[in-house]
Amino acid sequence: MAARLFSPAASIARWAQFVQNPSVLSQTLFQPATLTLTIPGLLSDIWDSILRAVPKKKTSHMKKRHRQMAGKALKDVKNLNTCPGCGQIKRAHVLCPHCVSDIKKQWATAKTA
Amino acid sequence: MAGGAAKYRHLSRKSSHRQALLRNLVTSLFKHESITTTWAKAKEAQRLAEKLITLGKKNTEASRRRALETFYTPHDIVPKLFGPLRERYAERPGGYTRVLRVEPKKDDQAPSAILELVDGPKDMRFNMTARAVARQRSKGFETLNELTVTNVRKVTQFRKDGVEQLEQAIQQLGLEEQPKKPAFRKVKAEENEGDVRA
Repeated sequence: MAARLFSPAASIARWAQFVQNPSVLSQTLFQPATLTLTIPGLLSDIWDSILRAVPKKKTSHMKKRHRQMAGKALKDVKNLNTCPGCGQIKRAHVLCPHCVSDIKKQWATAKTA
Repeated sequence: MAGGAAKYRHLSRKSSHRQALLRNLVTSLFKHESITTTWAKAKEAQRLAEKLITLGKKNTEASRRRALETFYTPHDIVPKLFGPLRERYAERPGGYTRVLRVEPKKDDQAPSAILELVDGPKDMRFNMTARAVARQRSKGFETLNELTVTNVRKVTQFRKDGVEQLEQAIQQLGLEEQPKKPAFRKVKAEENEGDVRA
């Protein structure tokens, strides 16, 4: 809110004053620059190995999905046997869906008849 | 769950919601004799249904009041509970209902089950056993396998004229099956002889 009160001309004038003031510049801006320049020998060894250890490329969608879905594949259904009522394959400990629907149909027709 | 093992399934509902659900389920169960719901709901409704039939068998004024306040349509169901159902289960020492797993019905693939009143007109195990025996006979085997024998016993033990009724159901199936059954299915069925279990 306060920034809006200043006109653009005023802010430019303040910037010019800041640049022209040598004491402010030398203390805040150039001092760190001179520090880094004094120890380039120490940094250059680890510069390529550690400090820039960042992925070179974005991981593709395919790569990401393969990684995240690893070990989560659907399991084979092995608990199967044959239905004693109709001889078709059904899951163990579960009623045969064909027989169940057949019997329900019979009940429905018996009710309407 | 914190505080030890849960004594009952909470079914992801608060108490009042759960009570309402179970009352709805048992009302439907006693109305239709058989309901299909998720397995967990079926098991919880089974507890309540068994208790209600016990009330029916007690047949006192107090038990009648308890039944009246449980059902949502008591005036249709309480006479049935204290009449035909009480007579049907007079000899049976508990185990008036049955939960049978079926393939998932809901689109979230939750395990489903049929909850049914034993020895009623919609007894799924009775019908399945009749089918199993009919098929066994059509193939020319006189001896049944272990599990079918157990099921025959379960189905006929307390049913009034159980053996005769089962025989009648088997005969009826034999009459119906012959024109309906295509020839190729018989060949396929003979290939799959092996572990036959219900």
